[in-house]
Amino acid sequence: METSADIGLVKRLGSFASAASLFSISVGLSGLAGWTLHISSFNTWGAAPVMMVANTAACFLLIGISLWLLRNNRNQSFAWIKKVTAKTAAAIVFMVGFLSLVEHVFGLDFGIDQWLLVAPAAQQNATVRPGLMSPISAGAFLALSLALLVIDWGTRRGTRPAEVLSLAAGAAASFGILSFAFDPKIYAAHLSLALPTSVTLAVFSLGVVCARTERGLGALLCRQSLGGSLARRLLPAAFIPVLVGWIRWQITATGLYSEWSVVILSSLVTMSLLAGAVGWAAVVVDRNDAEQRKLEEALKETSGINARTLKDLADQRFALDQHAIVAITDVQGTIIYVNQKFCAISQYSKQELIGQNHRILNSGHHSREFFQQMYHAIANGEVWRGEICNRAKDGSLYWVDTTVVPFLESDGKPRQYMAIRADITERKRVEEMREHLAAVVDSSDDAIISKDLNGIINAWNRGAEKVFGYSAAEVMGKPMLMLFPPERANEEADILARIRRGESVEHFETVRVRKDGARIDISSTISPVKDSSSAIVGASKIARDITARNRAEAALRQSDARRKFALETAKLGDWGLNLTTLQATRSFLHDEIFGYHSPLPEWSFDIFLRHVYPDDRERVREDFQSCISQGRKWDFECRITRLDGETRWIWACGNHYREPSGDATYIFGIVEDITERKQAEAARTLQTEELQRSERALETQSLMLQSVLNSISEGLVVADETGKFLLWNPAATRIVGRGAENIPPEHWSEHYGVYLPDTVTLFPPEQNPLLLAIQGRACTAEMYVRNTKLDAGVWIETSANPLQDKDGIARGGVIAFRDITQRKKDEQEIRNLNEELEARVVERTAQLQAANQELEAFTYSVSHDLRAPLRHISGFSKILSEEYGSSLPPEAQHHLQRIQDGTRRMGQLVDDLLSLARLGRRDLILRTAGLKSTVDEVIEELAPECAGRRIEWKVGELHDVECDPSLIRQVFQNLIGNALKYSRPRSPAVIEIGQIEVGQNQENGRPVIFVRDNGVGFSMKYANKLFGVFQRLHRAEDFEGTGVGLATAQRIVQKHGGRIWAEAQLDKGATFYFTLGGSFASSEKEELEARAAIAGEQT
Amino acid sequence: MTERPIEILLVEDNPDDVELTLHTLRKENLANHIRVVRDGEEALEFLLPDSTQDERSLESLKLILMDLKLPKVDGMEVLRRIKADERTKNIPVVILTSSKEERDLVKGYGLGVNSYIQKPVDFDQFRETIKTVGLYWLVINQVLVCEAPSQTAAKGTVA
Repeated sequence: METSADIGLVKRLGSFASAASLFSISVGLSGLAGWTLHISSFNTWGAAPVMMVANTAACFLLIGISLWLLRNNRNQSFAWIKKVTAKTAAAIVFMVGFLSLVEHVFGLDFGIDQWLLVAPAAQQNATVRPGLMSPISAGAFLALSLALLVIDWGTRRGTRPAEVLSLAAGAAASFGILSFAFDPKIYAAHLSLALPTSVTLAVFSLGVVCARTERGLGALLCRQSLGGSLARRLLPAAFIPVLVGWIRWQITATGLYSEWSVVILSSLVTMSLLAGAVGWAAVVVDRNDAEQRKLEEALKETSGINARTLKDLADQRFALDQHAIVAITDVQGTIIYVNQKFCAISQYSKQELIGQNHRILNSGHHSREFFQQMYHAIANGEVWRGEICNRAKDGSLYWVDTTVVPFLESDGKPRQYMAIRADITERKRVEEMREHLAAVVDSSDDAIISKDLNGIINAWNRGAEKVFGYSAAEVMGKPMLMLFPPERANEEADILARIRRGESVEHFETVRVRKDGARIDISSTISPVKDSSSAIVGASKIARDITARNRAEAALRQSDARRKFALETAKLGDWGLNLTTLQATRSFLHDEIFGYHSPLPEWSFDIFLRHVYPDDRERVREDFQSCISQGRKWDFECRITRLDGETRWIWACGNHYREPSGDATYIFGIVEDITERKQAEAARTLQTEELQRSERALETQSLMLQSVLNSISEGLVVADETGKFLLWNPAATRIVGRGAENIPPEHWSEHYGVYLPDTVTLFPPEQNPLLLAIQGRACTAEMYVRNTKLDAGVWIETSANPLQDKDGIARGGVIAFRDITQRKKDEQEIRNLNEELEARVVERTAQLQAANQELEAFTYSVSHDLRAPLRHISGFSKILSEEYGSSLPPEAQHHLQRIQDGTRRMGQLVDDLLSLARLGRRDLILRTAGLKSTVDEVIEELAPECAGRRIEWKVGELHDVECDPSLIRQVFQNLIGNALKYSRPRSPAVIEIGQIEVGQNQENGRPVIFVRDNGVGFSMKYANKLFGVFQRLHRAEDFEGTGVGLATAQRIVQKHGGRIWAEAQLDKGATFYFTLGGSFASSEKEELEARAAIAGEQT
Repeated sequence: MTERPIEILLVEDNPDDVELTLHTLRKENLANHIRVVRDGEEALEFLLPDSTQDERSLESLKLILMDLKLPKVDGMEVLRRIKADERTKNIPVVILTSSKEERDLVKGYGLGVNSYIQKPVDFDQFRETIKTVGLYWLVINQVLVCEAPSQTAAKGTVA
């Protein structure tokens, strides 16, 4: 149904729709303003008192917005938002209308009237509520909003529900308008529909209809068809009833005529007006139609002619289309038309071409000037002919033989260009190929010669010129034989024969002769040349000067052989790895390295990697990857596991082989089994380490030695077997005064001032200890050194030893010497001292002896001379008392007794003293004596003392000891005597004599002999006085005694090397201990030990 | 000249000692036949006269009590002479001295002294000692009577 629409009308209707929506919006706004600002005129438009309620105004606003947004469905920007907003607004209005209607119908209260504005109380003309819109408005809004919602719907036939709804609303609105128009007063009384509302509703509903002009009523109105024009013409006739009605109302209102007449009249008027309108319309339409028909007739006729012409044209066109590629462009080059062939060859579809500029086919093959020249021509109205290379859609190029024909306007200016093309791609290709071939032939360095079956040359390329030296002119038409060396002339016949048979001679190597007579090796291929009927008409020969090649090959072979030999001798495996396939070619030695005795059929990087020792695999792989990515040399060492399982070290080195393009496609390299080398290296490293360690140790030792040598006070000199000094330490220099100097041995003594101990005779060189040591004898000697460098002569003590190497061969000698000057001096002094001492000793001894002798004489005389007078005193006084005692008074007797006592005591004292003195001179006569017997004897001796007393003797075991028996006897006499004496008050007196073993060690254990009594004892306070001469701890009248006894005992015990001590308690008794034998010091220890032991025993 | 036969010869230089000794001997009735000489020379003259005319009979001499410390000729010397001489060597010699020196003992016994007595200081003891000694040598001990040479010669003819 695509009758063209009058665009002007379309536009007009569209504007009306816009205007209607705007009108609605403004009414709504003014209404709301009126309510807000209480300007009632906005809402009544003078048709008081019915007011447009607030809801109505709001609804108008909303639907107005909705229509505005929906009016133009061509505008694409924000279409979706517009649509949603519009539909939302319409929906709101729909809800309002629906709810209002419901309120009206069912009397419910939703508060719709209150939701926008509170209606003023003045509103009287309320049906249900003041703010509620009239049911008509509600219904109208319902319809309009629904229409807006479904504005784009439409049935197949073209009916649009939107139109129906809006027309319905319009009709309802018209009701209001008409009633107001007819009589405003009645209008006010009868209706609750405000004027603004009805007007706006009517306008709006029309607007909705006009909004869509594609289909339905809107479309109809715009159409240029019969129906459209009819609709446009007759629609105004709808106002006839309105007019008549108004007239009728006016007449009725005047009341001039009766109802019946008015009706008749109005009907009549209506009838006539309508008939008139229809008739006018029909006439007009008919006229138009008749014109139309005439036009159509003429048109048909012309169209018949046209059709025929067109048919012819079409046929021609068709024919053209079969042959040619056709395209029509406008003056700008925009493609207007393309035919099927065009599409076929360019691979674009019609849609893709039409509207595009012809430039899309530009292949870039032609220069800018080429196209400029073309355009220039056709712009001038000239036909242009040429060959163009275009690019198809897929990028492929095709050649077309093009004729561009400009279609000229009447003024001679082109209006269109038609391009007719023929596909000459193939032809072009052939041409190109031929050219190419010709160029190839010509540019080839090989000689390409063509000859006929008789061997006459008929083609000669530049390469042939180069190879044979002849120019084309010189050989054309000449036989081929001119190139042959004489001995090979027969080859030509053979060749020609084979050619005639249709065979080709390929890679035939032979010798030919150049123009300059030089012989060249050539390799030629000769093929038969056939004409179009496949008959052989000649031969074409391609010959290459392979002299150089042959030479190069020979050189290569040689070089290859050398290379192989070099690699094999060096035991290097040779390999090449294709980087694309990762397969490798290699020499046999390579496989051998991996343990294979016969080469593997194939080898790849993976196979190689499998042989790599697991620990090394990752490293090798990474290294390989990085070498490939960086394009650097591949140089590595790793461990491999050979076929036989043995682990070996290999070194491989490879480098990229680059194609001329720079791509690395290949890595070639060598591999070597370096296990031995590695082992050697390891060993060497170890050795080096060892060496370093030894060196360090040596250094340390050497340093140590050096410092030792430097620090020792002994001079150390080492000389080799020739007598040259190898070592001369600082001490040596210090002692001798000079350092090492290159002096032959025979001059040593002289140079250094070495003398014999007598200090005047030079030391005989041949006796020099160092020299003797060098000769192999170790020896010592004392020397005296005196030279100008020394302040004083020094005595040295030397000791020399030979130095032998490990084979025992004398390699020199070492001499160590010490400065003994001081020692010598000391020795001398000691000797002097000794002599002095001895002299003194002798003197002393003499003195001592003299003293002893004196003492001897003294004691001797004492023993005699002192005693005698004592005896006399005693004797005479005794005689006195005996013979004259009776005549003496008792007192006198007593005195005499005292005299006798005195003499006795003195006699005792003298004896004791004498014995004490004698002890000093006396030497011990040691004998092993049984002490027990001695003790028993002593006790026996002392028997008189024991008379009349009760005495308990406890004599324990007493060992035999080595002692001087008589002296020990004295000791016992003394001690036991004392015991007896001091225990006199006791009854019984207990006297114990025994021995205590003291000391851990039996052989060191010395017996401690004791004498214990239970007598009066003494206080330990005075113990230190016990053994003093003449010291007594008791009064003489209590206990007699000289006070010498214990001193004597001590002297005796000390002479024996023992100790004597006592322990006592006052009134409890005393114990005297003594030991015999041992040194003084140990005796002291013994005493202490003994005391301790005894104390321990006693506790 | 004939004398009473001397039984004891006392060689002592100290007069007190002489008196004490004699007193004691007398008390014990041993002092009848005592000859006292005051030094060594006299002792030697008595015992070993140079001339035969001073020769006397020593047959009755039973004991020589000798002190050591004597003027002129020392006791030891006298002892030596006595013991060296045939005429006197058999006569018991008892050294009676204050000294108990070992030296003297050694020498004495070396010379062949028959007994060595130390004179006690205490008179009682002294008395006891003298009594014992005297008793022993004079009463208990048997002496070897030596004839005078002339008598010996005279007796020689008797078989």
